[in-house]
Amino acid sequence: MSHGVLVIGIGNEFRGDDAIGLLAVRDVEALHVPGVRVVESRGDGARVMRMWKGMATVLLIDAVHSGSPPGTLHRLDASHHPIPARFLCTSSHQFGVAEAVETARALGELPERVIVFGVEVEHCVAGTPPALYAVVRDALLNAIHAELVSLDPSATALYR
Amino acid sequence: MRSKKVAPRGRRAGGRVTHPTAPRLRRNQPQKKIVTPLPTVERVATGQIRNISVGALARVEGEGGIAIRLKGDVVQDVKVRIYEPPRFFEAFLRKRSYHEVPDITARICGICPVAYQTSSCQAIEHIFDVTVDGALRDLRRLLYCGEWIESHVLHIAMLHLPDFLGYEDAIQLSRAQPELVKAALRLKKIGNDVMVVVGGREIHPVNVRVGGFYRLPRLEQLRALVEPLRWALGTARELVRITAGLTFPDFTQDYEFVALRHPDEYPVHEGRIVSSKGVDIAVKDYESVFAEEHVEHSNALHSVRKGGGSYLVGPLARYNLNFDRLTPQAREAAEAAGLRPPVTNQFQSIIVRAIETVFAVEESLRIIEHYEPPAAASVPFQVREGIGMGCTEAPRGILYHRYKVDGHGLIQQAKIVPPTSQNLRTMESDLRAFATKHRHLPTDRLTWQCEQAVRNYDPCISCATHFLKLEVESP
Repeated sequence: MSHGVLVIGIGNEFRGDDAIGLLAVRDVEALHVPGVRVVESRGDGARVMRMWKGMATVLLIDAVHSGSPPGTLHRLDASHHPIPARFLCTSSHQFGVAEAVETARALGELPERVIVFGVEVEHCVAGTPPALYAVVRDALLNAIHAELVSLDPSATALYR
Repeated sequence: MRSKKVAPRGRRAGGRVTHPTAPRLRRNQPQKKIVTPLPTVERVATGQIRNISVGALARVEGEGGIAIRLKGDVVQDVKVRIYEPPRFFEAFLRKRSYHEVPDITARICGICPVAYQTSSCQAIEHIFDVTVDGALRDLRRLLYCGEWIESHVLHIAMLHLPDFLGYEDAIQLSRAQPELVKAALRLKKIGNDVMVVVGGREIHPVNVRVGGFYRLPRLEQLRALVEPLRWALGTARELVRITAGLTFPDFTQDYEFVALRHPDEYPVHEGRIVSSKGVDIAVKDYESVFAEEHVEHSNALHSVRKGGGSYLVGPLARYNLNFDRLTPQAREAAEAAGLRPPVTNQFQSIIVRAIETVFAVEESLRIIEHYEPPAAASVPFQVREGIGMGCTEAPRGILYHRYKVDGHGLIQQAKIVPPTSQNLRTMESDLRAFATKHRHLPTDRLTWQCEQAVRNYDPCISCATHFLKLEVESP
C-alpha cells in the first residue's frame, strides 16, 4: 500500500464547466506537492478503479449536478458512506466514477480514504468555455490543499 | 398535468438499493433481503393519459432521454431525445489540418475513440489515395479489436447483465457475484492493454495517424499480450455461456440489418456496406442510399434508408450478415450457444457481444502471433484536395465519416454519422412496439423495461444509464 496521495480529476474538456475536474488537477500538479500524484480521467470507472489500486488515499475532483447553486463546493467522504447515486455526472454506457467507488467497495478494493470534491456546475454544453472555473478556482484549490495538509502537514510549505 | 420528480427505480434513502421488479434470479444467487415499495405506482383507468419520461444529464456521450406518451391502451407518441456532440465536432474540425483529425475525433467518445480515429483516417486516406496494408493494416485491426473487447465487456457485464439478473446495477451484481465482476474487469482491461500497446494510450490513443502510426509497438510488448489474451479467450467463452443461459423477453422485430461485409474477414475496419434487404455498396456511396433527417425533438439527426425506413446497425446486424466469417472459436461458441442467424431479438444482442468478444480476442492472438514488423510505421503520401469517405464497425455499429480537404490539407467540411443516430429511429419503433405490448404494466416497471429495451442498443446516450431521474406526469 502506497502512502502517497492520488488526485484524480474527472471531466470532459469539450463540455463547458464539465472540464473543472481536469483544470483543477492541472493546477494541483503545478503546486508540486511531494508524494502527490495527479491523473486525469474522462470518467471511465473501470479505469479509475485500476488507477487507485494499491493507493491508501484518493481525492476525486468532479463536476456535480445536485440542485445546489452553481459554484457550490461539496466535500464528500466516500471512505465509509456511499456516494449518493445521482451525485456525480454519471453517464450512459460509461461505467462512471460513482459506480466505480461503490463497485470497488462491494469488491473490497476501495482505497482506505476516498474524498470527493464536487463542484456544482452550470453549463455542460459541448463547445462552450468552462466559465465557472475562474470563479471557483481559489476556493477549490484551497480546499484541496487543506485536505492535503491534513494528510501530511509538510505539504504546507510548498503552497505559496 | 403536473410533473413530479421521483427517485430512480427502487432507490431510496440510506443508500440501500433494491430492484423494483425483482425478476428471475439465477439459481444459487442470494435473494435480496428487502424489496422496497416503489415511490410511484399508478393506477391508470382507460382513456387517461400517461406520460413516461426518462430525462437525464450525462457527461460524455451526450444528454438524452426517452419520452413515451400513452393514452389508455394506445401508445400515442415515442421520442428518444438526444443531444450529442458530433455536430459540434463537425464545426470544430473546419480549417483544421487533416493530420489533427484522428486526434480530435478520438475525443468524441471515451469508449470508442479507435472507431472515430479509424473511420477518419480511412476517409482522409481515400482522398490522398493511400493504402494501408500488410502489417500496418493488421496493427490497425488489432487496435480496433482491443476497443471491441473493452467496450463489449463493459456493456455486457457492467451495464446489461444486471438487467437480466434482476439487479439494479453493477454494484449489486458485484455484491452478489464478485468473482464474475472481477473476471469481467480483468477481461476489459486486457482490451485496454491492447489499446495501450498499439495506440500508445487507452483513452484517446495518440499513436494513430493518417497512413498508419507514429511509431511501431515494441515486439516484447506485443508478445506480453499473448498470455493474458489466452486467458481472455476462455473467459470470453464463459461470458457466452452465461449470457446464452439468460431468459429473454419475447420480442422479435422485422429489422433491416446494415453492416460492413468483407470478402475474408469478420468486419471490423473495412468492407462494403450491405443490408439484409439488398443493399450492397461501396463506402463512398453511403450517402446515395442513406440519409439523415432532422426531427423536431432531437438535436441528433435520424438516419433512414432513402425510400425505405429505419434500419439497425450493431452486433446483431454484423452477426446476421457475417456469421460465415466468424473465427473458429467464436463460431464454436456461437454453435454451443445455439444462436443461429438471423437473430431478430435485440435483447439477445448481449450474447452476440459475448461471441464478438471471443472473436476479437481470437483475432488479436492471430495478429500478434503472425506479426512481422513493417519497414516503416506509416505509408508516405502526398496531400491533395478532394472528398473522401470512411466507414468502420464501431462496437455499436457502423460509423461513417466524410471530409472535404483543400490543397493545403485543411478540412473544408466534415460529416460524421455515428451508429447511435443511425439506430435512433429503430429504437423509437422498438419502444413503440414494446410499450404497446406491455402497456398494462405499472408506470415504473414499464419505464424500467423500456430503458432496458434502449440499453440493448448500447447507445452513446445517457438513457442507457442506470442512474436516471425519472419524471412521471400524472394524469
